[in-house]
Amino acid sequence: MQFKYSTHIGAIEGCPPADYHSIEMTVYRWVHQEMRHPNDFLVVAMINPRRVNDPAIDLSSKCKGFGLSFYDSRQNAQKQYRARIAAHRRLVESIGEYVAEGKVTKSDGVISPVDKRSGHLTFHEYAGVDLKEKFVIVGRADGNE
Amino acid sequence: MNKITGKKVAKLPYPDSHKVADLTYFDGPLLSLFRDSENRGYLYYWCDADETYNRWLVLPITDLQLARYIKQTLPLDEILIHPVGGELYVVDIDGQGKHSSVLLTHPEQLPVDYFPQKHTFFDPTTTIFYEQNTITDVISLLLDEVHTLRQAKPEYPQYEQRQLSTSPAQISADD
Repeated sequence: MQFKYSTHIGAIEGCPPADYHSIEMTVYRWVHQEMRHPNDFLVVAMINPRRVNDPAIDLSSKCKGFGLSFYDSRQNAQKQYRARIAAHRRLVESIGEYVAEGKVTKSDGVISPVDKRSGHLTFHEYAGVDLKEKFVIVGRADGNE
Repeated sequence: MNKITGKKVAKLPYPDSHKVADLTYFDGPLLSLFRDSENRGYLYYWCDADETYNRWLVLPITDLQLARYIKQTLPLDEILIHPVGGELYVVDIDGQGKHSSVLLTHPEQLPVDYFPQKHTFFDPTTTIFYEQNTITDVISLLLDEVHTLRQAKPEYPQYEQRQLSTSPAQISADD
């Protein structure tokens, strides 16, 4: 299967990493209201302006920049959201205020092992996959329903 | 983005500094530690963005401040609101890393929501290191803190129970 950003990641050695696997899994992602924002399912390396403070370490040359961030549970998504927003209050405008749930399948892409401390996952989509169609908003990202 | 009052300068006065760690990383850097050739430290703290630029607060950080931040005894808001010398830089950086406007200003000139909420402490779950020395330094600081706490309070819980790790979150952003 070809990856959605294969023209970008083709030159990055070991991308996606060998420990990423195709599995069926329910995952969670921060989104804007009604998932209308164009960046809601866009990988960070393609979002302008990219967050770069040292040009020598730019996401456009990093495998991670071409993966989408997910969490393994709604609770972890909300806990991490609260931590990020407490530390960077204007991040709300970039990442939204809601959490969406979706089930990714083996035909959608490959996913990283779960970061045990945060529940974070990185997902590399296959070409032609539209993840927005698979997600529904399940609550506010800060947990204040 | 908000218009900021301050003294316009041509560029940051830290020409030979480079990034050694993203102390907070989520879909890109949010709080980065830079070091110059004399090992002086600087923080880049993300505070805002528009369609063209990301805005960063840039300020020196002493080793004592950094140690206390890593040990979770000094919150980030205190470091930013009370910068060394009382001033900090506001820098707009485009998606290629090119600096645009650079202003020297005082924290009180900035919108309140440019700063963290009160009592925002170091979160080691989102850290990326780019230099081995920085990893060693941070782990040493965390171990020192646990040792101190155990001496004061023998029942102080193990790392796992505090959700801290002796392993850095990630060694590099290359995965």
